[in-house]
Amino acid sequence: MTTVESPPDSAPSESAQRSTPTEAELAAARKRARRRASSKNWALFLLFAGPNILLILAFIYYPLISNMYYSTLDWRLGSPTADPVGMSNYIRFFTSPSGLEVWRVTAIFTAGAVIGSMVLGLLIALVLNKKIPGRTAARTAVFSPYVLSGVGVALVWMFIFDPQRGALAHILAAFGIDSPAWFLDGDWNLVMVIIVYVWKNLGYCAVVFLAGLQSIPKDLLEAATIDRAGAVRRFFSIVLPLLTPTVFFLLVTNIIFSMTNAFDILRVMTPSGNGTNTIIFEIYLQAFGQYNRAGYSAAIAVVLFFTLFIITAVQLRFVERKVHYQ
Amino acid sequence: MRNSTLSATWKGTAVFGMAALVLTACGPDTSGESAEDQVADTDWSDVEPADEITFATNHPGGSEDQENELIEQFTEETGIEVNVITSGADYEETNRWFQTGGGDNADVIVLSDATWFPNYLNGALAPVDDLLEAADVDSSGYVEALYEDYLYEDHHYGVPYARSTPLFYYNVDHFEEAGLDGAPETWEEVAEYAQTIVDEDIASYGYSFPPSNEYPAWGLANLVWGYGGGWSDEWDLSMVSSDATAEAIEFAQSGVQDGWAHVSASSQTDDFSSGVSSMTIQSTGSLGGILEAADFEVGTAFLPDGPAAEGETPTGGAGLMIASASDPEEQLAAAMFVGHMTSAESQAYFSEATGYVPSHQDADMSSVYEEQPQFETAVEQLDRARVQDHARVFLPGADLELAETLQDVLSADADVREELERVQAEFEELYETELADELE
Amino acid sequence: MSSSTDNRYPTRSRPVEPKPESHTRTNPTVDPEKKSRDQRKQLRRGTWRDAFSRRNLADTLLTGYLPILIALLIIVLPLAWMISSSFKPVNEIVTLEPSFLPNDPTLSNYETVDRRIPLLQVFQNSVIVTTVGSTIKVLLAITTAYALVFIRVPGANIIFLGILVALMVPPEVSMLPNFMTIEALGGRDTLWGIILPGLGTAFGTFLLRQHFKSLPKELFEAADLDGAGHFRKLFQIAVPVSMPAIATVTLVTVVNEWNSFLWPLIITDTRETMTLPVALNQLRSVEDDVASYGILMAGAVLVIVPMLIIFACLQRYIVAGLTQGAVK
Repeated sequence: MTTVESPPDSAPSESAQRSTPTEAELAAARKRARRRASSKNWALFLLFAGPNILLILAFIYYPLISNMYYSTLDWRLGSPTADPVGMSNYIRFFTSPSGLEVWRVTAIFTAGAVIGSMVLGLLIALVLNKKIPGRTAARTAVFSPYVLSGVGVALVWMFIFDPQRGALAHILAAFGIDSPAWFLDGDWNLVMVIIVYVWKNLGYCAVVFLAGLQSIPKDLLEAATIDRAGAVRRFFSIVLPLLTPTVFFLLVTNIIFSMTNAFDILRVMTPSGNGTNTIIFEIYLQAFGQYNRAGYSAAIAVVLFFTLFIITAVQLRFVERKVHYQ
Repeated sequence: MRNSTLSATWKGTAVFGMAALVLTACGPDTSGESAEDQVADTDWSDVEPADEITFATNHPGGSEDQENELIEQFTEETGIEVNVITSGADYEETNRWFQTGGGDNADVIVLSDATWFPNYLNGALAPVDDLLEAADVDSSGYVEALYEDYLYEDHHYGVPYARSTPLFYYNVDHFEEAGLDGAPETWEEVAEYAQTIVDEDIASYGYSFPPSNEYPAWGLANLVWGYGGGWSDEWDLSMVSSDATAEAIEFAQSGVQDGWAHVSASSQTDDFSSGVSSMTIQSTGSLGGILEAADFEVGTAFLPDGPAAEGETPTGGAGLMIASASDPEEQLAAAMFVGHMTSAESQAYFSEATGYVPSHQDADMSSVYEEQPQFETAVEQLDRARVQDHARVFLPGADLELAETLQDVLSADADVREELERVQAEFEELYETELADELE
Repeated sequence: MSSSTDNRYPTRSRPVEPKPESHTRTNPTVDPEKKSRDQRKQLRRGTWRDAFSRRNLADTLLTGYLPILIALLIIVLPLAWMISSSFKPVNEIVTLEPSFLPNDPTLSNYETVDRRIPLLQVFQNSVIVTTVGSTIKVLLAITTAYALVFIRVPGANIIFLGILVALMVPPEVSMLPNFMTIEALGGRDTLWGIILPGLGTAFGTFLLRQHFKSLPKELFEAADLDGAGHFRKLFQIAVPVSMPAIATVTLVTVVNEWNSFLWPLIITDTRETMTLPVALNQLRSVEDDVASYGILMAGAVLVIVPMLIIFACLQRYIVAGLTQGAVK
C-alpha cells in the first residue's frame, strides 16, 4: 500500500546516479533510444492500446453520452419520434412517488445485502481462519456461489421459496409456520431477493476478510490468545480495528456491487419488479416492462452512473487521506 | 495564443457537432412530425405477394410444433417461405424484441392483448382490414368479440390467434360431498356454495382468487362487470372508482374476510388442482394442465352472473399483427399467412393442441369435446365474450397497478373505495404522461 | 452483463502492489508459491496434530467444524436440492411431502429441456462466445496495460483515468444505445454481435496495469541493452512473469462471459445464436405447466454445473482474482 513505485521508465536519472561505468552507459543508451523512439511512441501506444480504447469509447462512452441525450426526451421505446422535454425526466425521478419508491427500495436492498453479506462473511472468515484441516476445501465451497450464473441461482431459489411446493415452505410447516407470501407481497419479495443475494455474495466477503485476517501479525494475536476467556473482547479490541481497511474496502465494493450486479436475480425471481425495483432494475423495467419509457429509463441510467461516480470519488479521497496519515 | 484558443473552440464545436450528428442518426426523430400512415392508399390489385416473410413468435402455450406444422402447410400451398424467429419467452419479451428492433424485424408478429397498443401508437402496425380483403381472407368468420379487440379508431390492427378466456372451474367431488348440485350461476351462489364447503370442512377454501402475478384484473373483470362497473369505460377512467366497481371488489374482499375465499399464494391453478380450494376462475389455456394434475372430476361452467348483468367473459391471449414497415408485397404475403394461421381448420388444430379457444366460428372442435367435454363450455361461452376495458389493455402500467392493488385489497382489509380512488388518480396520471398527447 | 462476479470495481480502494521483493531477489520467472511448498507441508502436518490434540479437540469441533458445517449446509443444500429435483418426475415435484432424493429418478426433465431448446447448439454457442470473447479481452487487456505502463506518451494518465471511469458504467446503462449500434452494424442475432460490445475491457486492463507497475525495472534492463522492441519485451518478459495475474484475469473473464445474461438476451433472436442462460430463460413459457420446476432445475444444472467444475479445478486463481486488491 505504502510502497507505491514510480514506473520503471521514469527513473533513468536515479540509476545514473549510482554510476558504475555500465550504468552510465546504460543511461546514455536509454536516452538516445528514447529520443529516437519518442515520435514512434504514439504509434506504438496506439498499436498496443488503440483497439481497446476504441472499443471502450464505442461501447461504454458513446452509450453513456447517448443516454444523456435520450434522457432529455419523452420517447416511447420503438417509436420513430420523440419530444424534447429538457430536465423533466430527472425531475420526475427525484420527485414522483414512484421515483422515490425506487430510492427507498434501493436503499433497503443495498443496506440488507451489504450488511448481511459482510456480517456473515466475517463470521465465516473467523471460523476459516482457525488452523484446522479441510479449511481450504471449505473456503472453496463457501466461495462457489459467487461464480455461478445469476439466472441459474435465481431459478433454484425460486423453487426453494415457492410458498407451496418449495423446500422452505415444507421446513416452516414442520415448525407450524405458514410460508410468507413470497412473490406476491412486495416487502417479502425484497427480503427474499436480499437473502438470495447474500447467499451468492457472502463467500466473496468471507474470502476477502480471510485475507485481511491472515495479514494481521501473528505475534499480536498470540500474545492476546493466552487469555482464552476474552475471545470476544480480543476480537473487538484487536482484530476489528486492524481489519478496518478491509471493512472499508468491502463496504464500498459491496455497495457498488449490490447497486449494479443484482439484476439477474431480481429479474428472474420477480419479473415485474413488485417491491424489488432497485435502480438498476428500474432502468430495465421502465424501458422494457409495461411502460416502454426509453427516455425516462435513460435518465435513471444517467443518475445511476453519477451516483456510482460520487461513491467512488468519495472513496478515493478517503483512501488518499489515509495514505497521508500513515 | 489567440490562434490556439480559436482552434480549441473550433475543435470543441466540431466534436460536439459530430456527436450531435451521430446521435441523431441513431436516435429518434425529435422534429415533431408524426409517422406517416404508409398503407392508406396502396392499390392492392397491383401487388404480388413476396415469396418470403418473417414470423416472430414466442410460441404461445408451448405451440412450437403446431406452428411449424401449420407453416409447412402454408408453404406447400402458396410457395411462400416463412422464417420463424423465437422472439422471447413470453409476450413481454416478444414485445420488447419488436420494439427494440424498431418494428422492421418481422412481417408478422405475435402480440398480446396488453402489448399491441403501444406498437400501434408507434405506428409499427399496419391496419389489416384492406389487407385481409386483398388476401381473400373473410374477416367475418372470426368470433366477433375476439376480432373487435383489435379495433381502434375504425381499423383493425390484428387477427385473433392464440386467444383464451377465463373459465369457471369447480371440484365435482367436493360438490357432491357437500350435497351441492351443479355449478353456481351467480356470484351470490358462489359465496353460498363456498361457505357450505368451508363449513362442512371439505376443503380449506371454497374459492381461490388469483394472486398479483396471475393477472387478477383479467378474470375479475367478470365480477366488476357483473356489478355494472369496470376498470374504465373507454377512456372514462372514473369508472374504476365508481360505486358499482367498488361494490364488486368489496364483495370479493368480504369473501376473504368471511373465510370462504382466499388469495392464492402462488397460483390459483395449484390450489384448485391440489384440492386446497373447490372453485376458481382461470384461463381456458390451463384446462389441460388442471385435468392432468387433478385427481378428482373437474367441472367447468360459464363465469357467474352478477346482480346487474349476466356473466360476461373478458378475452385475452394474443393476435397476429402485420408490420407497417414491411413492403406491400410482404404485407400481402403476411396477410395470406395470417389468414392461414387463423382459418377454421388451423384454429381447430391449434386449439386442440394448446387449449386456446378457436378464434374462428367454423372451427370443428368435436374431437376435442370427446376427449375433454369441459372444453365445450369454453367455446360456448364465447357468445358472452366482451371486449376488455381500455384502461387494462391500452394504458401502460395500468394492469400492473390493478394487480397489485387487488392483491393488497383482497388479502388485507384496506379500504376499497380509498384504494380505487388512488388507482383512478394513478390512471389519470398515466394517461396524461403516456397517452394524452398522442390520442388527441 | 452483471452476474455478481462481474468484478468491475476490483481494487479502487487499495491498488494492488503484489510484493515486488519476491520477484527481485531470485530468478524472477520462478513462481514464488513454489518455494514454500515444503514449508507448507510441514506446517500442515503441524496443523493436523494441533487441531486434534486432546487439549484442542473440543474447541476444534465446537468453534471450528460445527460452524463450518452449518455454513456448508447453507451453501451446498440448495445446489444439492437443484440436482436432486432435476431427476424427479412431476408428481414428486408437486407433492406435499417431498423427499430429498428422487424415489423414482428419471431423465425426462432433461429430455424436455433438450426437446425445447437445441442443447448442443446452445452449449456450443456459449463455449464459442466464452472462449473467443475471453481470449480477445485478455489479449487486449495485456497490450493496453503494457502500453499504459511502458510506452511513454503524454496524456497516458488521462487515458488511464478514462478507463477507470469506464469501470463505473454498468452494462445495463449501455444496453439500449449498444443495441442500436450493433443492429446498425448488422450484428443482431450473430455470435460476434454478442461478443463485440463486451470486448473493450476496463477491468482486465486495470488489474494488469497495477501488476505491470509492480514489476521490477531490472527485469527489462538486459532487454533494453539488447535494443529489444516492445513486442519482445511484452511477450518474452512481461507476460511470462505475469502468468498468475493473467490467469486470474482470464478466469474472471471466463466466469463473466459464461454467466452473461442481459446482453445476449437482447441481441439474439434465434436459437442458432442463443447462449445457455438465454435459452434457459426461454424454458419459462407463456402459460406454465403446473409443475415446470423439474424442467427449470434441469436447465439450472446445465448452466451451473460446468462452471462449478471449472471453479473446482481452478479455484485458487479465481479466488485470487475476484478478491484481488483486498489482499495485502
